[in-house]
Amino acid sequence: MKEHDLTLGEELRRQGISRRSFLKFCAGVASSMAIPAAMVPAMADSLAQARRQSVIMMAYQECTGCLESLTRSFAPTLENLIFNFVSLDFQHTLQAAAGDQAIEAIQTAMEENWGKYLLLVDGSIPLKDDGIYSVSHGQSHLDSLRELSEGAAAIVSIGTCASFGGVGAANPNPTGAVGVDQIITDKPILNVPGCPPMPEVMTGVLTSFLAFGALPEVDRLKRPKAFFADTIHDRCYRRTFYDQGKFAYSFDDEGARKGWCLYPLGCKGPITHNACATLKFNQGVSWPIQSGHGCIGCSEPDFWDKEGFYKPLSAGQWGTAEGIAIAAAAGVALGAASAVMSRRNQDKISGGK
Amino acid sequence: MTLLDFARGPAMQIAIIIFVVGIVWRLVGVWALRQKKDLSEPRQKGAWIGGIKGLFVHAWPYKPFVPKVGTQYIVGYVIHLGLFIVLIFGTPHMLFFADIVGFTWWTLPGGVITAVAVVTTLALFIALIKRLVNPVQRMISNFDDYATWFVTTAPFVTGLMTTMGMWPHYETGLAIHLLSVWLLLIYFPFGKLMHSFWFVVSRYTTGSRFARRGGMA
Amino acid sequence: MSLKDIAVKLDSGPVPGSSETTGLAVALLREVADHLNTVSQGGDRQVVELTNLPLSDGDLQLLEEKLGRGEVEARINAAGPTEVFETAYPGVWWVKYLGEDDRVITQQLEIGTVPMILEAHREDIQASARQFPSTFDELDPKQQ
Repeated sequence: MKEHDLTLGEELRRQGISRRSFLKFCAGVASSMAIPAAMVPAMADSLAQARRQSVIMMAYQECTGCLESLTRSFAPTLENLIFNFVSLDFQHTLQAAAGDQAIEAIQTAMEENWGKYLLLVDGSIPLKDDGIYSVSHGQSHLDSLRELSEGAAAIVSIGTCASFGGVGAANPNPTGAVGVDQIITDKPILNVPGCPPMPEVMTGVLTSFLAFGALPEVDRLKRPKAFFADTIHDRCYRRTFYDQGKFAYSFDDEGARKGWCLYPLGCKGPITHNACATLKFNQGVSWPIQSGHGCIGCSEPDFWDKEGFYKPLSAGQWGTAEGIAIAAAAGVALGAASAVMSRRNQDKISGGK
Repeated sequence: MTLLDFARGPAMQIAIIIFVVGIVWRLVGVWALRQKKDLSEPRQKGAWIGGIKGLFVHAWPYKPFVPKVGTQYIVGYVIHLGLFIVLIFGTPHMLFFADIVGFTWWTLPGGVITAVAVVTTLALFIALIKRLVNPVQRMISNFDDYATWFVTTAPFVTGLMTTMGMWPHYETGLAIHLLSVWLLLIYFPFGKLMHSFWFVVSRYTTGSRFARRGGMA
Repeated sequence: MSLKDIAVKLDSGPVPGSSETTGLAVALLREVADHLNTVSQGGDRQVVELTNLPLSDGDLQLLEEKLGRGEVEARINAAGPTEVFETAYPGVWWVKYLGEDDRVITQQLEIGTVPMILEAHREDIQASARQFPSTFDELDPKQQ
């Protein structure tokens, strides 16, 4: 009997993983996705009934930070579980195979699971010059994405690069980098942005797909609402200081040492949607604001090009001093011209007196 | 480019430029006009003192008129004071100015600013209602009056909605608040909002002219 | 100024780690009371999620104090450790799902006869039923 014909529950029992482990795993995921805890047993049962999900993970123009983050999910044993739940048929960094055999693995996985495999994409895709700027095994990543999407059940863009273009697409975007949904338009796409994204989100998305057979509900940027509905500002533990008007104005000043709000130091919390204010990074150790640095907005499109991580949100691009001076000079010129016209009029009315 | 990027980028720059051009244009245009020479003899020296006095004397109505127009003055002061407090002592606003002038200053807690803004908005609506209800004011009010009211009230309403999280989508709401302020800036030089500059000129002029003729003693 | 002059901890920390109570603990106790009524009248198991709430250390202490400890303490080893104990109120259980280093991944208060994680799942029992005979199959009945 082929491995893939067993349900997940049967398969994992063969490996000595009990149903209790399922329950614990689902309890953790449900907690992070605000799924009612009473649903956990049902979720665990559903997960156990699922078939091993084929997953192909492609890394395009990326820095590997997303993969690093992904492999730090929850705790070592639970992290292994998610990799046990899926059949990670291709991941060029994690797998042992290389070269032609590795590429054959993709082909085999595609053929055997046509229409059913999940395609995970990491990294942006250059469009310029036929995508020559990002190539693996002689194939441009643009071509690779198009080819691999054809048989995918759904595509999950991991990280801000794959979701929105990320750092590759930042000004001046020399490679013409874009996110996945700018290229593929005929498949369900889920964006899991973040630079890097939070591993719990990825775990939650995969578990959702396995247990419920569908990708979770998304917002208008295709991000799962369970994790991206609230802004950082809404959940920030320093919010009370914002409301009280207690701010840190420079790093290591009195306000900074007392843990006050980082708005003046450029925190983009009010316009950034992510779950790090509650879930935090590295299994709940900390996150940027707790460490004293304002949010850089890493899960939003174009966050690199918002004129600086340290410029407060309310300080916009007001122009330049020279520009204003020129405007004032123009005003003087117009004023003088108006005055000349008015004076002529005055003279006319008063008959020259 | 999102609406917010547009609002805190190109839109801001254009609005500020139009604001500066317009104000300088009007100030220079009026200042450079010919003034009718007063050929009479000055009754007392130092007419300029009368001018300075004039700035303050008109701050409160002449006693017999207080019952009639006192409320208008009070409502007006509430509006202007509130505007001043919210603009100068609200932290996000202070940071905006700090980016331009290069230094920061002490600000009030967010809750206080919100309270002041609410009171100011109420005063603005009361002023509008008084204008509509009073037959004389209603008759002499024109587009300029109502437009001025609108461009002043819109930033307050949108600002309160933004800070209280009442927009369905925060970023869009913030952009709308910013755009409402740019509307105010663009309208400013060309309507009754110029009273912010003219009131100094007219009060001083009245005071000094009266002083020259021996009044304001 | 040297390295040790740089503060490692915040002078006056905000909510994480603060020893004050926020009123959340009392709200949770009321919720548990509600659930106890439901369950005692025959309702299904109820669960109160503790992890995502902004509970301060003071809140947790208050909860521990008020709930107390009962007769049962259990440690489960499945995909890492899990700690369960019955509170001084039978039917109210405190469940802590832990990571490898005993860090709390998620914790809940369960109101019911027994916490979910303690129950042996029907499928596991079925697997046991299939495998159990192997314990005595090898033993030679003639030697008895």
